[in-house]
Amino acid sequence: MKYLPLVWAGLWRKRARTTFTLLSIMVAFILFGIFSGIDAGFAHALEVSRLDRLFVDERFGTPMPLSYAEEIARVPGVVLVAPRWGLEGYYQDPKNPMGVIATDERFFAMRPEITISKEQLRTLRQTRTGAVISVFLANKYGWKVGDKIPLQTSTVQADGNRAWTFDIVGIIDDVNNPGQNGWFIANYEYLDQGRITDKGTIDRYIIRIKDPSHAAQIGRQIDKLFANSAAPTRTGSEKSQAQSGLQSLGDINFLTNAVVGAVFFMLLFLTGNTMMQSIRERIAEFAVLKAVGFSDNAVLSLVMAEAVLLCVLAAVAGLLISKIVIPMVRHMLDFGLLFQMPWTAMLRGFGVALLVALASGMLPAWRMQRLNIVDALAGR
Amino acid sequence: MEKVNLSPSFTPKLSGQTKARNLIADSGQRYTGKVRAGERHMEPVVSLKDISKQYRRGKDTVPVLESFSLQIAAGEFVAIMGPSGSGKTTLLNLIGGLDRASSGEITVAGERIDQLSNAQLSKWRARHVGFIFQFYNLMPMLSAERNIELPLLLTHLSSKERKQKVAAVLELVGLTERRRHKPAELSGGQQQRVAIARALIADPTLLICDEPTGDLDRHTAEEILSLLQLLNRQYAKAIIIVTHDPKAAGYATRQLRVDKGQLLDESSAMLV
Repeated sequence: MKYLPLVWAGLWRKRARTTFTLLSIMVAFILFGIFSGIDAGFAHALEVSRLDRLFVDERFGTPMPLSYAEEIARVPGVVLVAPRWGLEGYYQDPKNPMGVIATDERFFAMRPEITISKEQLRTLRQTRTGAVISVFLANKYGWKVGDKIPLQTSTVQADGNRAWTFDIVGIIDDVNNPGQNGWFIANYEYLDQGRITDKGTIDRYIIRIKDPSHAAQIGRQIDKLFANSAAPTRTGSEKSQAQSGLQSLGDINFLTNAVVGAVFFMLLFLTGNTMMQSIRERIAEFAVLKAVGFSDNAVLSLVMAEAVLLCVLAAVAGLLISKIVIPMVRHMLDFGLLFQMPWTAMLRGFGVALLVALASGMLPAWRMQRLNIVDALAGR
Repeated sequence: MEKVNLSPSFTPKLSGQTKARNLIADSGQRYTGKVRAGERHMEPVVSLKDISKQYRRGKDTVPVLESFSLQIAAGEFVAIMGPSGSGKTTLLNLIGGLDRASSGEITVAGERIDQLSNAQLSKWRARHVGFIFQFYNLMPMLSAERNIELPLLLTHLSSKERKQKVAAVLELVGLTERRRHKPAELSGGQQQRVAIARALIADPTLLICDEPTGDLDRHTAEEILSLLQLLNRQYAKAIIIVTHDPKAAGYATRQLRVDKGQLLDESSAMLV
């Protein structure tokens, strides 16, 4: 600590240059924070998706009849089958897209991560137009129990109306992503009875199996059952679906690493250049330090300490900004759920900052370690 | 105690001097050949035996010092004079352990410094030598007191002890009021006094001054030289000064003339 004033003074020898370098490093680490946030969000999405839950989807876009449920339930290893239909629409403005899951109480048995009370479930069952929404949606739109929510959809009702009105009967949450998931769950019966097309059909069956290691085998069995029907199926685990879903967005991991790698490569030169310029202007000062008794290694340590202080200060500021801003921003984004900033990402950023500091400070520090006092004092 | 012609602006009080002497003279292992204030001692603090120094300039070898021998006693104030390129500064650098001789033996403060490794030489310099340069060479971003404190960072002294020593030396050089000023806010003379305080803070055996008044006006130069004389007389510091100025050399107790790497003659100076 006693050397801190010396290191600090050296760092701020040229205020403008240090400020701009700090800002550049800070921006790089904000970027690092954002990409780490996306990475972490994807990792979390995969982590919470389960291997014992399979999705049976329509293979060629033909909706599956409700009768499939019984046949699927008879496949050995299948514990539970829940049908659902995804109703797509928006609330008030197309900018507020909304996905309604039309299902029944089996859906909640299938997804224990959704916290719904028996009372809420009973009310939902008894209210034909009822719906339960997640805390996220309640907060976002200010909805509360008792509200009537009209949604514009592409599904036409018998009277030609495309607007579907739901009565909010409960507010639920998702323990895997508290306050984050935008669940809007309604009764299948209300949808199926009201629509004029695709009656009695389902766009996805969610099934739970006893042994996740048999997922592929069970999936093949189910698909084989309906291979020659009018609505063939395609079965996969929730995890593999999540994986392929995320991959369809592109190889985010590669993109993240490539962008962050390029940024840090530039940062290395920026910081290294700043350090080199800084020590070049202070050669006589380092020579004096050596003259008064600072060893070669002590001078090397001082230069390295400057590089570390520069990078770590800026990195911590950048990472903290990411940590504060990401939770604020994720509420505003539709893909906010895929945007997280765990402390492990902060630690990784801190490690990267140290690496950049060591790599960029190494050459100037080595030069000052080898500095010849007599030549330096003579200005040679 | 001898009277010293110091300008009132930086003449410290006697109590301050005594306090300073006590404070700066307790930092551990010291050269035992040191003399008490007011005494002269024939035990050499510097002994050069048959020193040669050559520099390489491209393919050529340039001899700077040849078969140079010299002894300086503890407590002496020696002025080295000579034309540019005569080898004065090289001599100073060799005595101060900043450079290495091509051949010969150098013993300073009882240590064969030509046999020390770089790391040992750094420690030795911190313990035994204080440097004063023509252009002060202070750290521009540090205040006067932080500049003075630098050599103490290498000791095990606590922050409080370091502060006490810095305060004492600041009082000795008459800069207590300016302790928080940065070099750019000080005059040339004040900056050189900060440099003297920095050289003095670790209580070195030897003060090495390379043209310490070369950048100062006459009046300020005299102030600085008087201060060095005070340190030599009252604190028995051995001082070696390189100068072109005969008046500056007149403050020394012994004058050496060097030319073409050879010691030409020497004379004892009258005390100013």
